[in-house]
Amino acid sequence: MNNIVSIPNVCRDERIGSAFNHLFRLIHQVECIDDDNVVWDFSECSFFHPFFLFPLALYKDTCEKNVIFKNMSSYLQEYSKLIYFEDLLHIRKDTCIEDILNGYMNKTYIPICKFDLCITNIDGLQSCIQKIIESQCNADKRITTPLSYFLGELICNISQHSDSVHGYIYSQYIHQEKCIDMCIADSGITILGSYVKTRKYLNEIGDDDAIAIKKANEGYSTKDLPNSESRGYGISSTKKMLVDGLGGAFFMLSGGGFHRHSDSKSDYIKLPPSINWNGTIILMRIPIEVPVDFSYEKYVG
Amino acid sequence: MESNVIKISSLISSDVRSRSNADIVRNAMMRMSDKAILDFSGVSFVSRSFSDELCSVVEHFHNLTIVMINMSDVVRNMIEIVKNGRKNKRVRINDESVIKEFDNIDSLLKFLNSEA
Repeated sequence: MNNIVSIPNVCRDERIGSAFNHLFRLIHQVECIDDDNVVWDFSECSFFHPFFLFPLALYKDTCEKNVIFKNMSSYLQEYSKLIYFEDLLHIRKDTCIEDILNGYMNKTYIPICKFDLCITNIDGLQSCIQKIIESQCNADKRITTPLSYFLGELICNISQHSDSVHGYIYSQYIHQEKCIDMCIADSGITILGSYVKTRKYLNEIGDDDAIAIKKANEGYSTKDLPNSESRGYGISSTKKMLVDGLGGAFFMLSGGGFHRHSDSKSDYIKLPPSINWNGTIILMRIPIEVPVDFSYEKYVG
Repeated sequence: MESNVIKISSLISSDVRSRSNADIVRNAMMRMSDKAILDFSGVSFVSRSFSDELCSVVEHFHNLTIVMINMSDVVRNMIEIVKNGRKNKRVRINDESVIKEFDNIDSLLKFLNSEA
């Protein structure tokens, strides 16, 4: 019985989300194992790119198999403890957010946080995380409002649409590239699931995750009213501000589809039936140097 | 302080993100009878989502005179953009990208590796 999966050494993410090339293969291998216990063998691994690390941690947290780590180097073990890779940092109702997170002010990352969506101070969590990220990268002050916008809109989407119990967030400042690699996710009903639940646009979407993702990115909201279309700006405006405005990159995976948008290239991919992500995950590469002519208001309308 | 003043930074936060925060404003306005002053002093950021929901709240209380004061440029601009957007028909830009489909993991990985 072979229940061992070799974890690849994914230290780069050439085009945003390319780390998922390795993750999809890994998920496929794990799902093909007819055993509740799966061993992840880290003997090939020395370092992980944030855009591989985060979804790997989430996959372990949400998959139905019991995952056992093996052959992790002492360096990687130490690192994985610092970022809460194996057991995510759980932020609950009664957690004092500043006490837990202020210790990361002088690091280059925030740990992989799993936060209860029922916490009353979800705005406070965002403010705290953002303050730490800005301190870590000593960013152009003009990045503050876009960062607030991205966090505000994407986490609000999780609360409003996902039916998820938890949200997840992680970030790493990459000094050499002068960018923040940020990951936000939920373990909810997926974008397709939210359209199905509200019975919106189903004649166009059907049961296709990729079409649902496209619809969401074009600004079609599950909460649009017949005489009012004031919803549905969060994802589309975030992406435009990030990619067109700041020169960053955006990736979104939900259920059986994903979308990525960087430079002038945009892809929508429908995954094979054997691969399905439980929930929605967003990756953003956020440059910390804001173009001189950047105007935040241009992207929110 | 006048009793019809709602100080947003005290009631909610100086950094207002979640859409659901507008319910707090709604509940505060329910005790007003004639005029409500929304005081944004100390508020450094409001999200688009909150601004949209706030506009809905303001529209709901059409019997009140509602005044917003002490807004920073960031706050004022956001609320104005959202308010004006609600008056006009939404124009969406449809993405012309074609959705690529893959039947099996091998063909998907071959494509992704060629794109990386």
